[in-house]
Amino acid sequence: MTTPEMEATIDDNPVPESVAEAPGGGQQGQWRLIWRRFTMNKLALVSLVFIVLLILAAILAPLIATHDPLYLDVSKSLLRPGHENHLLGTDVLGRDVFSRLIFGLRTALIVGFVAELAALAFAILIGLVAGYVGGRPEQLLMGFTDVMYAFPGYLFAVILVTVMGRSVLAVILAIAIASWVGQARLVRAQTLTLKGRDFIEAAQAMGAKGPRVALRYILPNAMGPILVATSFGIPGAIATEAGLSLLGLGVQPPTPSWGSMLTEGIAYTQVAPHLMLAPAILFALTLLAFNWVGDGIREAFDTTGRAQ
Amino acid sequence: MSTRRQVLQWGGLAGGVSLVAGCGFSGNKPNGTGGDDGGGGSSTLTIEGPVLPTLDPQVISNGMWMVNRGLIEGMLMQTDDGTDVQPASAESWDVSDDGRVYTFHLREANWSDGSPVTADDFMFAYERLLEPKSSGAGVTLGANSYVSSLGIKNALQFQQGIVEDWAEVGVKAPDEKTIEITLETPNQGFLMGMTHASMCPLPKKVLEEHEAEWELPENIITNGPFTVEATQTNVSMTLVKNPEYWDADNVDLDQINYRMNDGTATPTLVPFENGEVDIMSVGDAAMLLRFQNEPELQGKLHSAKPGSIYYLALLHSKNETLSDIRIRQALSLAMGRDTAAKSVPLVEPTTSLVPQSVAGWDESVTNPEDIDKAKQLLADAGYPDGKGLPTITILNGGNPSPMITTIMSNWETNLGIKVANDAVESGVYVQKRSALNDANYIGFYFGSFAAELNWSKWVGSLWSPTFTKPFSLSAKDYQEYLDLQKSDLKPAELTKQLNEIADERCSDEVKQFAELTDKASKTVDPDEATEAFKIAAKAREDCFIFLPIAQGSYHFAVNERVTGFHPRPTGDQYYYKTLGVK
Amino acid sequence: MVRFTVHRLVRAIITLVMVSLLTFVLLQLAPGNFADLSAITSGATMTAQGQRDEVMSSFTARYGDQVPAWQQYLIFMKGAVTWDMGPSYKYPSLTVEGIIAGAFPVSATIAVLAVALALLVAVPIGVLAARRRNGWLDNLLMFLVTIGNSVPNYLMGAFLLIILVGRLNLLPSGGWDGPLNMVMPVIALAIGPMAVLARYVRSAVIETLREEYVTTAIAKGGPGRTIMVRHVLRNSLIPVVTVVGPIVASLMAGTVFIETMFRIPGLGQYFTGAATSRDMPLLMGTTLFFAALLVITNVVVDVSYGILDPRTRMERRPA
Repeated sequence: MTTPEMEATIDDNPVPESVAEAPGGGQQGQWRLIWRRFTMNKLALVSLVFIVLLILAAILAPLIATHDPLYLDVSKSLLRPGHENHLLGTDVLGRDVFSRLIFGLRTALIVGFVAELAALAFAILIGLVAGYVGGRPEQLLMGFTDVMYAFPGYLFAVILVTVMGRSVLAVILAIAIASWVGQARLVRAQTLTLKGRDFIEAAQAMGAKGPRVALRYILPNAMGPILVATSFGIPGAIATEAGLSLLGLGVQPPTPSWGSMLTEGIAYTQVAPHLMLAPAILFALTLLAFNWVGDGIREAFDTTGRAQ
Repeated sequence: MSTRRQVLQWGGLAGGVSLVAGCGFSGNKPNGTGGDDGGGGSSTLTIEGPVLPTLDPQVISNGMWMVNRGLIEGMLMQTDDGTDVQPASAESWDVSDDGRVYTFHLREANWSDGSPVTADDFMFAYERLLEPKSSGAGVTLGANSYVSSLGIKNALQFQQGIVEDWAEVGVKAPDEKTIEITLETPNQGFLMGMTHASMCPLPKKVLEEHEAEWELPENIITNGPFTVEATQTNVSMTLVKNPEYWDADNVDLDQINYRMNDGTATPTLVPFENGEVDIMSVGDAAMLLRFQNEPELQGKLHSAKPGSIYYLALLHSKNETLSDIRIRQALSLAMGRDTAAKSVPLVEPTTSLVPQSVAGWDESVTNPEDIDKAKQLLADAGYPDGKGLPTITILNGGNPSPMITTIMSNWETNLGIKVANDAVESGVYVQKRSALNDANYIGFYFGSFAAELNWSKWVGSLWSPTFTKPFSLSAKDYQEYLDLQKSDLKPAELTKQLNEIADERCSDEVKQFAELTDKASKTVDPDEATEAFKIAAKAREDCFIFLPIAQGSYHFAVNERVTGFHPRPTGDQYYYKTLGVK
Repeated sequence: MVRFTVHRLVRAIITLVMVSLLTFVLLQLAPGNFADLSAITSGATMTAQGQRDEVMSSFTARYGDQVPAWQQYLIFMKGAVTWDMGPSYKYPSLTVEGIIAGAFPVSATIAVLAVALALLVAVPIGVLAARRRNGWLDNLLMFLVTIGNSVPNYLMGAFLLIILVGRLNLLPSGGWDGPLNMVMPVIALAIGPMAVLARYVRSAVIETLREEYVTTAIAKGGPGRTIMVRHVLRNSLIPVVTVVGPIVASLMAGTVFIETMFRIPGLGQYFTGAATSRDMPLLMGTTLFFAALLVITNVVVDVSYGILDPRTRMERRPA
C-alpha cells in the first residue's frame, strides 16, 4: 500500500504542519483572529499595503503614467533619469521607462495572480479529491501529478507559446501548468492530515456528506499553508514570465512587460544602468513584499508558535 | 571516451572530497593543452564566436564558416577586401571563350595526415553535396541551395531528381589534379561563388571510414592552415597550425583558441575588455553603443563593408488587400527608414535590395521614400488616411528588432494605419512565412540576408525570380501550390508542376523581373551584364514584394596586438590564415 | 519496506513512459521541423519546400523509410532502454547518450556544489534565526535571505560577471577548464536554494525545539551546544534532507541561462537547443533523462525517509 503519511511529510510543504483547527467557535471568528495576528506583524502589514498600492497603480496606470508607454522617439534614445520630464529616463527607442514600468505592472500582476489562482484552483480540485476520496481515484490523480512533476515545464511553455502565439493567455497557461503540481501535493497532504482529526470524524458522524465535509471543514482548515504557498507562487509566476521573455517566449512586444524590460536592461547594463536597475528594483521589491505577506500569513495561522 | 572514469572523478569531486584542477575538465582533449585561458603564448590568439554544433561544410550552420575560415581550403579564396578571388587549392584556372567551361588546376598539396589532396576529394564532396538524399556520411542540410547560384550544368536538376545520372552533371575530373566545371550560362559571380564553404573538398577516405564522426578531433584531417586539436562541445575548440599546409610558411599563428558563445546569454564585452579574448564578433546593439561612447574602446571596432540587407517580405494571406501593389508601394514609400536605421547602431537606411558596395551600384536601382506620394497611393487604393485598411502585421522570429518597432510607429504616424507585431518562436515563424494565413492576418515578415557582393548573387540568387513568383500568386492559386507540395508526386514531376503554376499565374511585374533577370544572366560581357542586372534589380524593387529597410555589416572587437585581420562581408567573415600577433 | 520500494519503482516506470509519450506528442504538435528550422536559422531560406522535406525524411530515415510517427516513437524508446539512442540531429557527430554522458557530470557537479554551498550558509543562518526567534537578528537574517530569493539567477549571474570579472578581473569570464570556472555559476545557482533552505532549517529547528525530549534535555541543564547539535540539529535535518534531493535533481537538469552565460557544457543548453530546433532524439533523450532523475530522486528520498525517521517507521509497522 502507498503510505500517505510518508508522502505527506515528504512532499514539499515549506510550512511546518500546524494548522489551526476549527475550535468550536464559528469560522468567522477564526478568520478574524487570524487577521488580528497578521496585523501584528508590521513587516507583513507594510508589504500588504505595498501590494495593494501596486494593484491600484496597475488599475490606474493611464492616470499615473506620464507618457504613452508605446510612444517612441529615436532621437530621445537612452536619456538618463530625470532628463526632459522622463522620471526614470528613456529606453533605446526613446520610450519613457517609468510609464512602461507602470503599464508593465499590469502585465506582471495579471500574469502573477491569474496564473497562480488558476494553478491553485486546479491544485485544490486534484489534491482535495485525491486526499479525501483515496483509493483508485487517488492513485490515478497522483500518478498524473507525478508525470507532470517529472515533465519539464519549459517544454510546455515552448509548445503553448508556439501554438497559441505570445499572448498573455498562453504565458499564463504555461506558468499555471508548470506550478500546480507542487500545490496539488500540498493540498493532498493537508487533506490527509486533517481527514483523521476528531472534528472531521465528528462532522461525518453527524451525517455530513463527502463533498460538504471536504469543502466546509477540510478546505478552510488547510487554507493556511495553501495561502502561504500562493503568496510565494505569485512572485514566482512574475519571475517566470521574465525568464520566458529572456528566451523570446514571454508576452508579445511591444506590450510592456517587466520581463522584456529586464532582458533589455541586462544587455544595456554597461551603457545605461537605469534600464536594468529600474525594473530590477521594482521587481525585487514586489517579490519581497509577497514573500513577507506569505510569512505573515504563515505566522498568523501558526497557533503553536503563538503559544510560546 | 573515458566517460566512466570521468563520472567517478566528478563523483568524488562532487562529494567534496577534493577539488583537483585539470584533467576532469576537458572532455575531448587528447593531451593537456590549456583550453581558453587567454592568449598566453606569443603566437596564440583567442577568438570568440558562435556555438558550432557541427563542422560539416555542407550542413548550413556556423560550423561551415569555421571550416572555410581556416580548416579546409577550397579551390579559390577571396582577396583580403573580399572583392575578388585568389588561388587557393587551385593554382590556376582557365575559362573557355564562351565563358561556360572553367578548368581548375590543383596544386601539389597534402591533407594534414600527409596524404595528397586529389580531384577525387573534390568530386566526392560535390556528389555528396548534390545527392538529393545524402546517406552515410551525414546530410547536406540545405547547403546545396547555394549551388543553384553557381549555375553548374544539371546540378539543380540532379539535386531535384530530374537528372539521375551523376555523369550528366557539369563537374568532371579529367585527371588527379584537374577539375572541369561546365555552366549552363556564363556567370560573372561563379568564381566568387566557388569561395563558399559548400564548395570545399572533403577527405574522402575519412568520411568513408568514420561517416558522421569524421569531424571529431581524433578523426578529422584538413588541408587548410589549421587543424582541430580538441573540442569541448558548446564551449571551445582548439586549432593548431597544420604543418602540411602548402603555404604554412606564411601562417604566423601556432594556435587559435576558439571560444563558443551562445547569443542568448547576456551580451557583454567583459571577456574582451579584460584581455581574455582577442577577436570577438559584436552584433548586439548595446555593445556597439559602447564602442561609440567610450574613448578607451574607440579604434578597437573593425567592420566589414556592408553586405547584409534587412527586409520585409509579403506574407501570403486569404485576405487579398495587399495584392493591390499601390498599398505595398505606399507602405514602402512611408516606412521612415531613417529613424528605423537610427534605432540600431551602425546600420544605414536603404531602398535597394542590393547592398551599395556591390560594384556599379547607383541610385537607379532604388525607390526613394516619399510620404506625400504614399498617402496619395493609399487614397487611390481606397483607403484615404489609412481609413478602413486592415491591421498590417509584421512577423518576426524571437524578440523584435528595434527597427520593427520603429517602422510600426512610423507607419501609424505617416499613414494613419494600424500596425501590429507578431514576434513568434522560430518554428512558428517558419510556418507562417510560407503558409496561406487567415483573412485577419496580412502584412510582412522581417528577415535579413548576407552574401558575396556581386550582382548575380543579389539579383539572380537571393530573392530570385523562382523565389519571388509564388509571393505574387492569388490566394486561390497559392492554395493550389501548397496542396501540390503535399502530393506524393516524384520530385521531378512535382518541381515541374509547381513551376508551371508559379510561371503562368504570377503577376505581370514579377514576369517582367524574371525575363530581365534571365536576360542578364545570359549576358557574357561583364559590364553589359552589370547593366542588365541593374535593370532587373529595379524591376524587382517595383514589384514591392520585398521591401528593403537597411543595410548592415559584420563588426568585430579586435585587440591591438592582432595583425592581418581583414573582415569581409560574406558569412565566413575573415580568414585565419593571415592573422598574426604583434 | 521491500513491497513499498517495489511499488514506488513500478509507479516510477509508468511515470517515465507517460512523460516520454507526452514529450513525443507535444513535439509532433509543435510547428516546424528540424530541417525547416535549420534552414531558417542559417539563412538557407531559398531552399525549396520540397527539398527541405527530402532532407527531413533523410533524418527520420534511421527510423525506417516513411514510418509513421508512433513507430518512430517505439524505435526511439527501444534505443532509450538499451542506452543507444543514435545521433542527435543538431550535433550529427555525437550520439544522444554520448551527449548526456558528457554533459550530465558537468551539470551534476555544479548542482551539487551549489546546493552544498547553499546548505553551508543556510544551516547556520537557519539555526541562528530559530534560536533568536522574532528577535532583530532573526528578522535581519530572514530579510537578507528573502532578498537573495528575490533576485533571479540570471540577474545574479550578470551581476557577478560584471563585478567580479569586468570590474575586479578576479576570475576567468567563463569556460570549463578548472575549478575557478565554477565559482560564479555555483554562487549564482546557490542563492535561490540558500533562501529556501534557510527558511526550512529555521522552521524545522523551531519545531524540534518544541518537542518534549528537547525541552527535557534543556530542563536537565545539559550544555546548550550539545543539545543543539545532538538533539535539535540532527532531528531538524531530516525534513531538510527531503527537500535537498529534489532541489539537487532539478538543478542537475542544467540551467540554460547560467550555462550559456558562463559557457559551461551542461545539459541545459542541449535541452533548450533541442526544443527550439526540434531535434527529436536529443529532446526525447534529455527530457527522459531529466524525468528519470527526478523520479529516482523521489523514490530514494521516500525510501530513505522511511529508514531515517524512526517515527514514520513505527507508524507503518502495523500496516
